[in-house]
Amino acid sequence: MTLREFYLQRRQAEFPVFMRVLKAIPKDQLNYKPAERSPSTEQLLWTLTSELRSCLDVVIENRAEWKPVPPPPLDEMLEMFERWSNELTDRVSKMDEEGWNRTAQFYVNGKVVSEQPAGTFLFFILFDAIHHRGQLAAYLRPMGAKVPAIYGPSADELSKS
Amino acid sequence: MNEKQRLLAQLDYLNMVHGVTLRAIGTLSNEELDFRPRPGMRTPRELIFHIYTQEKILAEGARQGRFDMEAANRANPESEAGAAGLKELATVSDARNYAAACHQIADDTFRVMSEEDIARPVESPFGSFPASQYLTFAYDEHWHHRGQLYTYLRLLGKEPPNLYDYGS
Repeated sequence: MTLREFYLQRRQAEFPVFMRVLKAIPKDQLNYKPAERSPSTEQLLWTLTSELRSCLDVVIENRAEWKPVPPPPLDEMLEMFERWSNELTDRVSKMDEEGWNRTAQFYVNGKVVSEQPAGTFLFFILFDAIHHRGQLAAYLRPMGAKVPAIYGPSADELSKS
Repeated sequence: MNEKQRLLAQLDYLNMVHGVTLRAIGTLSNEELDFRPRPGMRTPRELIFHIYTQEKILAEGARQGRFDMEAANRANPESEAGAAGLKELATVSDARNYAAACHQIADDTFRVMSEEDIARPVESPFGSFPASQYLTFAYDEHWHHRGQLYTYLRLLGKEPPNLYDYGS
């Protein structure tokens, strides 16, 4: 198994978990933040979604730029998350090893902040996203939502059965 | 890159990730180990116990060729076996030592595996997976639950360590 194939395997395993957590967010709690310095639910969700756009840009153009774009409404973000996730999996499945190893640039405010092989960037973002999903999972109960199964059944799931 | 090389690279990266997690644990006070944001949510002590017991028992399962529910339950602080293990983490120092010890066992276990060991199927209640996959399970769990811990640190008014500060 190549690293690219391993990445695809992980993406396919993680995608439904992301969707379960994102769909558990109550529509009226987008401004929720557990502490003043914490990102809001909406900010976390938009980060997760925007990261996918950056991954796609890296795969397609070998460069991505982080831009401060205001988040769209929740339903739109969820739709974008799902669409970009599927597109990313599809495009990486068609990448060759040369593309996977090709150096890609990541820009913030017009400046290159990282230059690394596309595959390294994609893995970096996948685990960054799992971290942010973990943060978000800890927001759910304080927001009054139920925690879905992540890597196994949650206490909320078990209490339903 | 063969499977063994990939596994070694993953172990090296997990070592760096673990270093950041140890620093995050170190920002807590002994009393804060009992902080529970809401009823039904785990405390930092329980999260730390879960992350690291899971890492250790997944490695043990990969070595033994079998991972059963009894083993899985040992990592859950809500289970009887887990509650007993949780007592080892009385202080932050204990928690850090426990984390370091479990991590070391897992690292040692996976690092000495041969290509053949890595590819060997390991049975679990959730299916049969190659032994190397058990490191990936531990790795994903670590990132996920540490993300939760970072939210807790903010709730406790703390500045969590930079997630990607692997240099210090």
